[in-house]
Parts: sequence; C-alpha cells; structure tokens
Amino acid sequence: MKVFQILWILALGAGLWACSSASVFVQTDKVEINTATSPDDSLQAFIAPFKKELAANMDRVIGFATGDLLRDRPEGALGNFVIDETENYLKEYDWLKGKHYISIMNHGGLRSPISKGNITVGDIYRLMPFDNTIVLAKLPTSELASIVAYLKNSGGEPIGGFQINGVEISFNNQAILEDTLYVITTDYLSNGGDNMSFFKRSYKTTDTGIFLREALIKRVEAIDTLRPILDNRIKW
Amino acid sequence: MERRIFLQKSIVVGAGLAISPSLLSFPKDPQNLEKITILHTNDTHSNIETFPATHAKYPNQGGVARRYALLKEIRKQEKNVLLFDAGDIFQGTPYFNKFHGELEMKLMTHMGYDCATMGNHDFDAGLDGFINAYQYGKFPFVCSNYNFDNTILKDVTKEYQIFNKGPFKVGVFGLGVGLNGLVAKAHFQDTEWLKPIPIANRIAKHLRFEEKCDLVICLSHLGYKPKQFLDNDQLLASETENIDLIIGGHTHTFLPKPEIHFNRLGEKVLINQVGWAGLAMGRIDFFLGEKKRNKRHDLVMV
Repeated sequence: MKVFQILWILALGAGLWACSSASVFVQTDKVEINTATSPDDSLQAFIAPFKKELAANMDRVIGFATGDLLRDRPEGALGNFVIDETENYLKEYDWLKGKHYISIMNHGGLRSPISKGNITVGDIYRLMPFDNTIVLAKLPTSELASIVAYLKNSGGEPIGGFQINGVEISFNNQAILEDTLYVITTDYLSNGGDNMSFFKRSYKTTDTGIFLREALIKRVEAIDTLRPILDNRIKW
Repeated sequence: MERRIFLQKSIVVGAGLAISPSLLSFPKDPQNLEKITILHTNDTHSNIETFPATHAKYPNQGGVARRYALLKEIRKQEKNVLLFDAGDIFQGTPYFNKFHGELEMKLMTHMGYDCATMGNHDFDAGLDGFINAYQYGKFPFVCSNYNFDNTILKDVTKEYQIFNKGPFKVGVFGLGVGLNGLVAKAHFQDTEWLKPIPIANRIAKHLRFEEKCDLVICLSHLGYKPKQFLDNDQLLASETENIDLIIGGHTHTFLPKPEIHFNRLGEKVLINQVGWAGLAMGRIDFFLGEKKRNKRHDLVMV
C-alpha cells in the first residue's frame, strides 16, 4: 500500500517534470489585413511606379478587330472567338494531340464585348476578369445528349468542335466514333458552375492551370487581326 | 530508441495528468518562456493592391502595403519573428503578366520574408522565368520533393533551411504538388516530382535529431484536402512524425484558426492555411522551455 503511494507521488513528480521540460506552448492568431490598417507609405511609394506602368500596359494594343465581337445566343462572334482561340492555344501547346474533343463554355462568363478597332490587354481583362483556367474533362460520349439538352434549354452557349442544326448533330472530328471524348471548358464549369451537371459524370478532369485570359491575350498577339466569325454552330 | 523514450515519458505524463489535470496545462506562465512568432501567407497570387470597395467577395481586404504596416508593428513588439509563404506567389493580377514576378519578389524581400516554397503557379513563367524573377528575391526557397537536378533550377532552391532566431533553432522544409496535368510540361521541363510523405519523414527526422532543431515547420503546397490529389496536408500530418507545424496552401482554404491534428505517434501537429490573395496572415507563437527543447515535445494550446 505504502509502496503504491510512493509510486504515485513519484509519477506525479515525473509528470510535472516531463511537462515543464517537454511542453511547447502555442498561442495562435489570425491577422486580418484590411482598410483598418493604414498602408505603409514607403511600400506604397515603392509600388507606385509599377502601378503607373501597369496602367499603361492595360492600354497596350495587342491586335485589331475588323468588326464588333458580340455575345449572343444561340451563337455569337465573341463566344466563337473565345472557343476557337482556346482550342488553338491548346493545340499549340500539345494538349490535344490524339484527343477527340469538343468545347463548351458559358455565355454568362463573357463579361464584355470586343469592339471594332484596336484590341488592348485591358479589353481581354474586361472580357474575362475571372481567373478561370482551361480544363479538359474526359466524358462518356453518351453525355452528348445531356450537353445538347442543356444548350437547347439555355438557348445556346459558346461551343466548338460540333454543330447543332435542329435535331442533327455533326462533328468536326471523329469524336462520336469513340466511347469517350474530351470536353474543353473552364474550371468554373467543370466544378459544377452554371449547373452543367454532365461534368459531374466526367471520368477524369485535367486542369491545365492555364488562365483562359492569358491564353486569349497570347492568341490575339499571335493572330494580330481578328475577324468576327459566325458559322452556324447552333441553329434551332 | 527515441520512440521508446517518448512512450515512457507519455505514460508518466499520463499518470501525472490522472491525478491533477489542471497542472498539465499551466506548469508555469508561458509568458515567461522564450517566445518565437511565426507569421505566414499562402497563395498571394500577385495581389499587390487592396481589393476595391466594390469587390464582390472581399471588399477593402488585403494589400501588401497594409500587410507590411502590420508586420512592422508585430516586429516592434516581438523579438523573434519569422515570416514564411507556402507558394503560389505568382499569377492572378496584371502585375504578374506585366512584370513576370519581379515585383512580387522585390516586395517579399522588402517585407522581410525569411523563406518560401514553390507552388504550381510559381512555374507559370517557366523555370527560366522563375530564375529571372528570383534574382530580385533575397530569401531562400525550400523545395524538398522537386528534383531540379536536370533543370536550370539545380542548386537554386534548397532542400531545407535552418534559422537561428534568439535561442531558437527552427528547421523549415517545403513540399510541392505533383506538376503533371497541373502545369504545362514546357514550364516545368525535367523537374522530377517525388512522393512527399517519405521525404517529409526523412527531412523532419534529420532536422529534429541531427540538426537539433527546436521546431520543425513544413511549408506545404499540397493542399488542405484536394479533390484530385492523394497527398494533402491532413494525410501529411497523420503519416509523419517530427513536424510541429504545417503551413499550407494551394486549396485557398480559409481555416478560422490553426487545426490540431495528430501524427503517426499520436503527437499534436498544427495545420494552418489563410485563404489566398494576402487577405490575412497566420500567426502562431511558440513558447519553449529551457530544457530539452530539441527533443520530442507536446504542443500545449494556450
């Protein structure tokens, strides 16, 4: 009995020794950064010339549009431009080699038209202010029916790689002959944005990490002269 | 051997605890112990300016000049401060498109960042683009699971970095996300991605027992719980040992406060992540006793 008590006291002592020597105390906080804190003047001054130069960059001319590119349903030249140049960008960087693909993006994501005349970096930022990335979703070809139903229901979204003429669907490549096809889209849509529920049934989703806006800027720089294209991708 | 010592000690602590649980939490006033303040950001994504008042989600938040004002304030109050970033410094505003990371590196240097790891978007300018920007960065990058040996980044980043701050020795290493399918091959070239968890265990053990670090911190760009990746911060916490704190990134997760997880020995590990865009800084103060600082220890939240 007595031995037991001694053991307990020893254990208590050892326990106290152990926690005073082998404990690390931790206190945590989250430092919110907002307008309640005044900005540091020296750093503001350091940033100022960059900010000025950046404003100038937004006005940098990267190309020329021969006509207005507008957003429209079932089809608009603005949507066709975004779709076609996204495909061209991916082709250039070898993302599409050996893949049968179509494209679908969202009408609502095109935030501003491109007007006839010079195209600036700022125009592309206004068209695509979101940091959306380009995504390749691998879908069972059978999902085409839901894609078409979605388009019919909304009245039309920017598409590429296939055409709808009433009930007839035709493809630019052999997509329909395969069991699966790749759908070029944005991270926003593939993650369930705008209720494009067919993306939920993707076998695989690859985010290229490429910002859609950056791809468009690079493509406008490359093609220089942009011609509005309307080619009857969707006719109800 | 080390593990056995730990287990014996925890049984003894357990016995002490059984008698008087209150004694465990405050054996002495932690404010009298030596203190080190860890500050951190992640996924700042080239956000330099405060979001405008019209911003749909985060009006009037963020901004590096405000972050720096707060940093100066904290450094005035605290003796031992370390400032880290868990990656994705690049990409997200026109500042990156125009200056290709030069401004971000200059500002981080100016603000006194001590260390960072590379996120997937830090490859967005390519490896040569990273080197171009990094000439303006005067702080180390730790990348422990990217093998850059066959690239121009060889010897540019470090496997780990040790900081001696006051009486403290802090070991920091960095883990990055798999690049295939996430980053264009042309941008990462022959960078080899290595499985993060075995590497984390090897380096953390080395830092704790060979380098005798008091604290071991992992800057992780694996993500808190990413959908498409198997490796993430929660798994990292539970399948490793010798890490005290995981400073996360990649998933833009706003954790309200650092989370307590348990490592594979049942010891506490902290995970924190502060969203993105420099909207907030995480702050974790560690108070360490004099004795056996560099041995296994229990983190006690105060």
